[in-house]
Amino acid sequence: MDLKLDPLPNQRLAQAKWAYTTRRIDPDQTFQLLTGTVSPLAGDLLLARVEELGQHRRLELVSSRRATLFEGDEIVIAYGNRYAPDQFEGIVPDHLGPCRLVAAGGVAARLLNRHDRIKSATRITPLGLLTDEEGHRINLSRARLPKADRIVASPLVLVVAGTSMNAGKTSACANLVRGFVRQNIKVAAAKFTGTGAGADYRALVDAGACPVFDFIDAGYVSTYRVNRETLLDIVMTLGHEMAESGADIIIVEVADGLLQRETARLFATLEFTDWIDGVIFAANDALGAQAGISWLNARQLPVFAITGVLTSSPLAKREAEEVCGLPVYHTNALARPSVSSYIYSCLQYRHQQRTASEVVR
Amino acid sequence: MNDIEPGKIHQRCINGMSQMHYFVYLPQHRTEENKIFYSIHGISRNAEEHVEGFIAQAEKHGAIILAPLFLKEDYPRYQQLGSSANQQRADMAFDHVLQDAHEWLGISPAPMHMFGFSGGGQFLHRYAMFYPKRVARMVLAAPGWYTFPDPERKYPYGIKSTREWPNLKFVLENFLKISTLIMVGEQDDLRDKELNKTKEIDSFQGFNRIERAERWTTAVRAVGRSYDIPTNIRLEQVPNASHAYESYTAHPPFAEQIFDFLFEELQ
Repeated sequence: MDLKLDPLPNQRLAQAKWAYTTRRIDPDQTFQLLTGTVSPLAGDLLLARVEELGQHRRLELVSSRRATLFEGDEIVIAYGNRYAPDQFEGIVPDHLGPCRLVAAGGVAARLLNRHDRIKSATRITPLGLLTDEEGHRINLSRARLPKADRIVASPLVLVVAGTSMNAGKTSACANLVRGFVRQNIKVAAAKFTGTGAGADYRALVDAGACPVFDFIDAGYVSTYRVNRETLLDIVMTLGHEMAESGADIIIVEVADGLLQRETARLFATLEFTDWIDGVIFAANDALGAQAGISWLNARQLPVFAITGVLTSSPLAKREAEEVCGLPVYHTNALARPSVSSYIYSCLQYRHQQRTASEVVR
Repeated sequence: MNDIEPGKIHQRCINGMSQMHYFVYLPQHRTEENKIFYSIHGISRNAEEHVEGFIAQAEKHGAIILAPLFLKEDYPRYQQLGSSANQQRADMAFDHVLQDAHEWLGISPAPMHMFGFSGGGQFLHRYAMFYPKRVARMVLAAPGWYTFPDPERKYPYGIKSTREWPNLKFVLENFLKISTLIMVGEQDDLRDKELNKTKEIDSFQGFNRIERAERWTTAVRAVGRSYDIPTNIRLEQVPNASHAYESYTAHPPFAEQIFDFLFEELQ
């Protein structure tokens, strides 16, 4: 074991660019730099140097400002697994050797696959893992919210899922939040799965949800390749925080498509599915909507409406209505009180029916 | 009710904000149930003809027939329940009729079993959306177009409030529980001069009454699934019927189908 710990001057770290994924870590604490033969873990923070710019030429900072990167920049990011069909697949490497920046939110990984139309990932050289004064690695899990083993309060719970990334889920969530907030309904919102990125989180904040969380708040940089227990931890931790916040309704975004392994695993987690009152499905086209609705129906999940990219086309919207047998709401219309009031009443009705049947059982 | 001769059509005129007429038929042999068949005319305003056409079924079922008459000068847009929330409200005039019939005949109107033809079908489904607890079952025959349970569209196309119709709030979970039969002539796919052919309606409801009925049925079922409420709504085509009222009544089972559907749970 050739481990080496070196002091890290605060001034050096202050000049480094701290990525969004590090947002729960206090940058003013005393750090050391761990180098040598060490296997990083998902969520470990590292100081890295930008070697060659590729797909990501900007880094999303803690503030969500997208800072321009220059070769030679030092950045503080987190190791993590990355699943993005439109961009990259990456996994946490088993060494501190050169690797890639695979997400603009600040994720370091060994690149496995990339989309044909995407440039090669930005090359970085890890300079070492960040540790505390005692030499313990700084992992996102150290600054997480307290674990919860159950969710007591029961506001309405609405989940937004979709066919794939870029199906319109985040826009749908933000518009739903806006529509409810405009009716003076208190909304809490969270993204349960995906890869750490501020755009989704900030969209929920900007729309008026309070509080807003993502899996980083539960100590995870991403959810690709996590097990059921981790997903349950995220559900319970973030679900508990939102339920206790006094919100009238909770909106949860689930990343990627239903076929993505962790998304499918989440929808097979009874503690999650028992908790939710309704699912809105975002799709790119009518056939995708049909497949998604069939998938959700087969699992007896309470899908009650369709939205997403397809709603930009009146013909696709009509086609989806006919083949799926569910209302299709234009993504932008979700922000209108005229629409969100019916979504709210629909969820209330379902919630009452569900809780009544639970009492009877 | 003893002084009202059964087996005859009676016309009644009541005065309120404006004059309102309605027709009543009492069967020779009433059953014990409080069966009342409400029939809403189309834009030909042939309320009396409606009553005449349903007498045989009324006698068979022992049902009273009540048919309001919405005069063109007083209720030009009765199909949409009025010109605006504050003008020429046909639903309120109908409520006035119900109140008068209650006092005159001693009948309890709700929940109602109702039929509407063409413009009357338009009135009826909108009345049911506004007052879903009052309507138990309804038959809509060949409405020209519909109010969709769509909060993205403004009333009367959808259920979104407008300046003319402010503060609308529809309790869809109650509306979805109304058993509904839609009947459309199998030849009612013409774009006749009475059909509303605005771009707004053509673009999302369809080009003729058959397409529009199909799409509305689909939309109501979809909202039912959304609420997880099983809907009882079905669409049937009437053989050889175009859009003329006589072409429907010329189909022998037409009146029988309507009564059987409306009163089947009472039999």
